[in-house]
Amino acid sequence: MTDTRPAPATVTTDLAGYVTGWNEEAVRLFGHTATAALGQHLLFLQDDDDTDLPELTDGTDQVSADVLVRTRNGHAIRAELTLSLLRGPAGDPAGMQLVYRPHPGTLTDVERMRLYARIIEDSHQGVLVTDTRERIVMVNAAFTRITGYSANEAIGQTPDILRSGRHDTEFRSQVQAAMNGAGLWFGEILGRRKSGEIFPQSVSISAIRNDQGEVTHAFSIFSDITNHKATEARLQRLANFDSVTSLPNRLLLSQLLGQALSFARRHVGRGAVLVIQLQRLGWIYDTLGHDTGDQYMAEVARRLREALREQDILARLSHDKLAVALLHIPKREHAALVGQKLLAALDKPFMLEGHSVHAPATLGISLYPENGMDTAALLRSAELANTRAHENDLNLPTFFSDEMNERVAERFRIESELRHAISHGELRLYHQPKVSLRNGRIVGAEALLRWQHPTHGMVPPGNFVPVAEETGLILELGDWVLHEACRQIRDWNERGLDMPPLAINLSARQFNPQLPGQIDALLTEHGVQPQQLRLEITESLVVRGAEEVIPIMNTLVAMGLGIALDDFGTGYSSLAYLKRFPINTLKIDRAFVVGIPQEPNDCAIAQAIVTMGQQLRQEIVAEGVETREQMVFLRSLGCDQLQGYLFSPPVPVEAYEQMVTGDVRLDLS
Amino acid sequence: MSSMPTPPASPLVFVQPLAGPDQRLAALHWRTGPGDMPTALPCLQGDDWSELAAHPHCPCLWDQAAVAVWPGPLRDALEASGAITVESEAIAWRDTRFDAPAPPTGPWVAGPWYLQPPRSPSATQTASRAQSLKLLELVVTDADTREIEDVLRQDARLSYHLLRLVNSAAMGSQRSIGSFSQAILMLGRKTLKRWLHLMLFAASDGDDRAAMLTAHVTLRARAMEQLAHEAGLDRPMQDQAFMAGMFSRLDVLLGLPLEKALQPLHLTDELHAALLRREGALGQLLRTWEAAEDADAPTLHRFLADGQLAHDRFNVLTIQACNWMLQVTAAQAGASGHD
Repeated sequence: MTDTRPAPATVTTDLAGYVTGWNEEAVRLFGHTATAALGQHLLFLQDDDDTDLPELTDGTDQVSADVLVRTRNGHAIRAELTLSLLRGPAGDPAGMQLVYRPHPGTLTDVERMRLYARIIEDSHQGVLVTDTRERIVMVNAAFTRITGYSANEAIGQTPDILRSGRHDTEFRSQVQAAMNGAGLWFGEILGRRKSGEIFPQSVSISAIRNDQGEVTHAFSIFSDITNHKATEARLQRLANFDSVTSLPNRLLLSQLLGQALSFARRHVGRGAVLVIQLQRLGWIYDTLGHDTGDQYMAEVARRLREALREQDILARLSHDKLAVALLHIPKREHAALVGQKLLAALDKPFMLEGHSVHAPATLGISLYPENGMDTAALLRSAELANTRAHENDLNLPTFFSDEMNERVAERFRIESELRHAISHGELRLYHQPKVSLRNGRIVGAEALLRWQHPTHGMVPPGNFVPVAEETGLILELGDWVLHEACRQIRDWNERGLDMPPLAINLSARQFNPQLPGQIDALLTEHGVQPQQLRLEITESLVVRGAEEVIPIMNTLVAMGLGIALDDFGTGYSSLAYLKRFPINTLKIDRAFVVGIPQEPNDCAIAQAIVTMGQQLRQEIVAEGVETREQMVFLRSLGCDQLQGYLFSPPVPVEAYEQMVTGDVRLDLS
Repeated sequence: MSSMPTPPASPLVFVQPLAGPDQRLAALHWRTGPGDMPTALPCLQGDDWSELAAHPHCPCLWDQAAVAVWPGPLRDALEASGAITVESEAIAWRDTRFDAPAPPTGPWVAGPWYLQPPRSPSATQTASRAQSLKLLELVVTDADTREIEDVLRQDARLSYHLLRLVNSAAMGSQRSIGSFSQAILMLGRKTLKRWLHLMLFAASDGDDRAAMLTAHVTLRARAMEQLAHEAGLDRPMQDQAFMAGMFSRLDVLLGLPLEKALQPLHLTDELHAALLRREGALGQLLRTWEAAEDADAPTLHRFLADGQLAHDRFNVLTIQACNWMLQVTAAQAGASGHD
């Protein structure tokens, strides 16, 4: 038996762990050339799952351990490491030597390749690899067995030789996306053998990238599932599903809804039934023909499905009516939001027979438990509401009850005006300066959102933020603020204005794992230094879930951004939590500042916050400071900065710039 | 409004750390600017001075000849605080390294001997064993980022190596660094732990300048941070001021030109401007503190006037920075098992 163990690799480093020597065996074992390795820190060889080095006992110059190292190709290799201290002529430490002995049975890259090749060739599943021009460059034996094409016949062709012609362009574009690197696509499709026979196959398709991340090839792995496809499934579909749209029919809808209602009766659930009527279906069938009508119907079903959640039920009720059951909704208004989304999906033109056809719909909503608790009553109420919408030619979701309709109308008005405001530049950032309590100078500003309404004038955030939060528009508002703040800082940079950092508020909805990447991209786009932007978050966000929030905060701080905790003292955040958050600023909420200095409780709270903040080396900012007495008291506590009407209200950017360039200061005497 | 004559500004006080024969911090030497004849020194009346002057291992020394001409009550207050007055011969001056044990000229040694290049350049590639162990212990027990940051703030060599690692190609980051917490979060705990294990392997405490250099640099860093705070700069800038103080002597610590020492660190532009060219707000603060170290009263006077910082406030700040430095160096001495 031969020893398959690769030769030991020897690496030397300086005392700080940066590579100074890299022998041939190291090149072979790790795959990195000497040029690439020299000067790197040793940690680049460590695998993420590696355990720690053993502790060195005093007086020894050598230690051994089992370690997991990572090769250039990303493979983990288990090896025995002997780490020794190298000493100079005078006996003083001069560097380190690391000898890695791979474990017996460790695969070299060459052996690994040989095994991969064998496994692919002998696999029971068909394998097909294409290049970027979609030419087949490799197939295995199973490919030939399943499709009937030999390797010679297949190579150089495109996978089109296997096309059944049974799939639409939508499907083709999904497959195309997977081949271009959008991620693994997995599904069942129909293929065509060399003999012309159509066969069902289960396929995974994905792209292969090179070291630079560019897609070089795509592969598909498939098996023939002709035998698995049972015919009874088809029979079952015929009874319960509409053949044109593949949606559940009225019968299945009643069953499903019935189950949901009996569950809701026991658990006090809330839900809605929506009936959608297609206004031009008859016209389309009559003028464009039956096939086009079916095509339109299928497209309607697809658009609606896409706008719904997984658990919502979509069914075909009758020739021109569809029904949606929303089985769990937290608030009644949500039914209107979904309804609006569905109407919007159908409001976009349909491409039929080369014509762009506008085919709107009407929509009626009934709610349970309000409008009944049985399927028939709910469907009837929703149909009645729909009839009302149809008669009044309303392109709005219409409720069975009038009270709901009024509430929804008001919200839609604000919402649509707000959308208009975002896209038509009616939003502004006002800047409220923060001043130092050391020397009275402006040290920053908080950017606050204002809506300059064309007819109502300045709308306070309290009037539109709640609506924005319910409709999800808050995300767009948050994005707008983020963009606008970065744009503003860039503008200052370009004009050579030396402005202190600008702080923006982040909503809980915005605070998701994508946020750091989004901010990073914006900073790069506008050439803004992370130190120029500050983030403010509220205590409620922190309470939401430390485990979820801390990693996001850590990423933001690692990017160089400072985070302030807003409204401090109003929530429930415990001190233990506070210590774990990487925040560098605490803002004392105006609620406590108001009572200073006459309310002993408020003074005590402010004192406690300042003491704690100083202990944690945080900056303390008091918000909403309006009087000189408040300022004097807060300053005596050791508060660092203040923000409030005593110095300045939120002002338009021009006014703020003037204050900074004119070095306007707060009089501290 | 009656026009009152502006009261004469208090004299500025200057401090210099003194080594003992064991080359470790042994005393703080205090004096006022040349020609300054204090009538009152309010900074000597506060708690900060009481705490400092009563320190058990590091006495505060004043020159006997200078104090002799002070007004009686001021002199009495100084003595009551625990400060010691000494003959000027008690303090030896040394420019060069203690290569051989020096002839005993007195219990205390002043002078820039510890600012000479390191004996062996390889020794500067490692961190102190005691500090690395302390940091490792915190990482292993999953301590808060803040506590880890506190240890880094005590050791220029350790923080230098950490920042260098964060910016090494292995970590794949090109971000500029403005605070230690940022560096800790960029690296992650797992990597930090592995790095410390490796660091410990080669760690050494062989630099004979280490104790005095640490005292000098920590005092600088803390004073810079406080000056930034006094100047109304915000927390992130205060962090950077601290780093500016800490890294301003990397050339001495590592035996490299400063520019070369900074190159692998990718610090913020503000820090680079301050460290290499003494420019910007931080550069101004650094020049201010350097004037204080040189006991250059006219220059310091001018900088403080520019920054609108009262002399007495500056004196208190110096005393506070000394207190902090003593806490930190005592913690280090304790951790390494010395003393």
